Amino acid sequence: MFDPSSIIVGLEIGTSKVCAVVGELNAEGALNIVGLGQARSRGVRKGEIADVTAAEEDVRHAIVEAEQMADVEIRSVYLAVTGGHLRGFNNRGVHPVVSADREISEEDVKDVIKNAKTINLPAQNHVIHAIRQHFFVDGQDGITNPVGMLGARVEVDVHVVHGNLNRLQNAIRTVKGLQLEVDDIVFSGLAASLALLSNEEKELGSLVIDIGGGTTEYVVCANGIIKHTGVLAVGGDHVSNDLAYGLKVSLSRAEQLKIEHGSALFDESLKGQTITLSNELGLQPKQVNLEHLQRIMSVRLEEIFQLIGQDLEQAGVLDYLRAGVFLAGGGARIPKIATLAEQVLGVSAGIGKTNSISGLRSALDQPEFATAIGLVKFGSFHQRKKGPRSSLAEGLRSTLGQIFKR
Amino acid sequence: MNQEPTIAPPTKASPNVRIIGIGSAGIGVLAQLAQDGIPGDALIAVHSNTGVLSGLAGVEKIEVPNQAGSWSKPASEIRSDELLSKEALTRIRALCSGANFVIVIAGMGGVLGGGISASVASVAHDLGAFVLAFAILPFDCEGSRRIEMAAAGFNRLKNAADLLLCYPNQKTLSLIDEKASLADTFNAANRLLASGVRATWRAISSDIAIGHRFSELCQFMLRDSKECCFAVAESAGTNRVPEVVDRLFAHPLAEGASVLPAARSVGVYILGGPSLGMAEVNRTMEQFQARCETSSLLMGAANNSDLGESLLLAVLFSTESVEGSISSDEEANASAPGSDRGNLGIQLLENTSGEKRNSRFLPPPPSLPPEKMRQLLKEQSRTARPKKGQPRFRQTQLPLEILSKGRFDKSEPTIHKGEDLDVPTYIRRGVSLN
Repeated sequence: MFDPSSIIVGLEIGTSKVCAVVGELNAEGALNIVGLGQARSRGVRKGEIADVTAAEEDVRHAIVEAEQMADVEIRSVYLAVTGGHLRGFNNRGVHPVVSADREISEEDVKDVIKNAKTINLPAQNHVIHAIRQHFFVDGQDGITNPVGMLGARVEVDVHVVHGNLNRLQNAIRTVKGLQLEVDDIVFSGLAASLALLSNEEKELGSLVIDIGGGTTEYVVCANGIIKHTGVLAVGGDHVSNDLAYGLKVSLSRAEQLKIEHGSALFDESLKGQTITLSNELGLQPKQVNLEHLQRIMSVRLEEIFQLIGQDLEQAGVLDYLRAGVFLAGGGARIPKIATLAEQVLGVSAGIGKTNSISGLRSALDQPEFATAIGLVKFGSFHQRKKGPRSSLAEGLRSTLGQIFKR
Repeated sequence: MNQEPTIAPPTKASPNVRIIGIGSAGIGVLAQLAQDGIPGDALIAVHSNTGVLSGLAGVEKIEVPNQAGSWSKPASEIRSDELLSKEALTRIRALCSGANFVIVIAGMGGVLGGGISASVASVAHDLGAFVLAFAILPFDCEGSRRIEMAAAGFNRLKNAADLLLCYPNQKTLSLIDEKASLADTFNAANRLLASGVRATWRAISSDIAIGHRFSELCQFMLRDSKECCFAVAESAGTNRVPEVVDRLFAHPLAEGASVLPAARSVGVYILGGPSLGMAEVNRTMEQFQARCETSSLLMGAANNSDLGESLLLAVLFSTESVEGSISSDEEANASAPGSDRGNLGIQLLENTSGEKRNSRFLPPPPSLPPEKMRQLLKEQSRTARPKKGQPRFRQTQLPLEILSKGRFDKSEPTIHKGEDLDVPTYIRRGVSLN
């Protein structure tokens, strides 16, 4: 049995699956994955809760499985959130240094960060993250810690991720309905990037694309900071839907065809080849053209990468990607998807690996668990900052408490 | 208020058409046409090689002197009138006299096709015929010299012919597989071009039923540009309308219909046997109206008893107007070695519409002498002016077919820059699955 204060649980309520990962922080502060639970998701569309009852049931299954594997009682979770309503942008806060000697103090830094987080958003929107980027002292760029420096004006850039409060609360209420606490909510893309990127890759410049069932999240890290984030409410479900429509088969059959014969790039050798689908109802077997199947998939996936590429180009971050593109999510399993990403985005691409964490191999080697593992990693950072959890009341004093009271 | 459709009486006399194939590329198409049953007296083959000419049976043959030495000359110095002997010119004049329509087919990359096709077109034009030229452009792999020759020949032919239909051979690559031999590749190109010429032949010699004649469609295309592209498809059976439309969009030059929204003018000609129905014409045109919201669209439909149960669809579309972009005195520069303009003819045929290109690296603006800069600015201001006669607002028809979004029918739509991403991408991009 583990010490409950050292247990961190990441919960992702995805469109195709619900996944709970249990991590343990050891005495040295190293993170170890000790449990994994998953269940097929039925109550989520495009990353957002569409059926609370079904979603609650799926979460319960995943949590129970994770508890059994890790042999712990799960009381609280770090919850991943996503959806087409999430937006990311960079904001700058300014603070004049008023002390007589012009030395920048801890208080000045706190004030400038507070100013940067003061964002004029619509009332129904909530800031999920305000991630610190670089400081500027009297216009001098690239300062990571200005405390002790001399200057008249300190500025800081933050990357803000925000979304619709009601929609965020739908996911939180689903979890709370199971008598579980939510330690914090984390943008899925950010969690995946935490799981996949090493410090060197964050420094060099990397793009993490998490292709899930209902959404595709992407995060650009460069110079050790989060430069850009985005969400497209398009994912693997759209690929299956396109196949079902184009090949005139059921959604479940389309899903099966995608997994068994799918490819992100059309294989010329399959030109003219067909497969026969048997019919359980005794109707005529159906012929499916493999060329059509792969073309339909290819154009959809190509479009996803093109949309991401356009957004990154517009944000001016495409040229930062010196370490390349790291793919995660179930979509990363599609054959030749890395080649397609390379062709569209013009940088090297590959499947992301969660190398920096130890524990269950079954979880660590799969791109679809990147978000849940990243949540645990996020939780571990959070935990180290706060120190060991002494009581539940302290947990409730987290930033998340504010949004429940809103 | 409904307007009565234009139902013209059947033409009293069939127009007199001549088809002239010049050089190896032209003769290849001509051979295919002879095989397809086009009457031999309408076909004229022009080549410098007796052996090649003797391989064609039942067509008029004109032998011209061998021009192998012309390869060493710069493309701009090749003079078409020098390549054609007086005897050959007289023979062409005699064969074309009395013709209403002359179709010239020539490969632009060769000395013969690129060289004499303009002279042949001029002769036919002077005799009062409408000259429709099919210009075949070389494969990209054939090297810059051949592309230079083609650009020069293309410009000459464009000036001489009434309307130029372009076919870049490079497009043939989408019709063949990895293992296709050279002969198979050229046969595929010949078949495709022959289908275009055959459709033109049938369109010209058909009785008009509704809309405009084919010749009027050609005149209409001339409003924007003297050059345009074509696509042809044929289908039969009960499902012939959707099939013929799908096949047409799958044509290498139609590029899955992605070229249509960007086309300035689109001319659609529908040909069918006596069974061609109004509903079929209507359904066919709906497909084009949906894709040509901003283009000028003109149509014609005609009966041709030879077609039987088949439905033939021929589409002309101009993607980019190049009128006046190269003045005659700049032609020499345009084809000068190393000049970017040398490839202009080819570039203009590339799809300018559809796919979004990645503009990752923006080069710095080129440094230009003040005189050149003034000239460019003048040209720019000229092109920016709205075209007279082009309607600013057009009432469009909403698509009658409602697309199902499958599992996303009841969910919040994912709209990105006005596009509904829940609709299958292959449908939005017009990718044909035939």
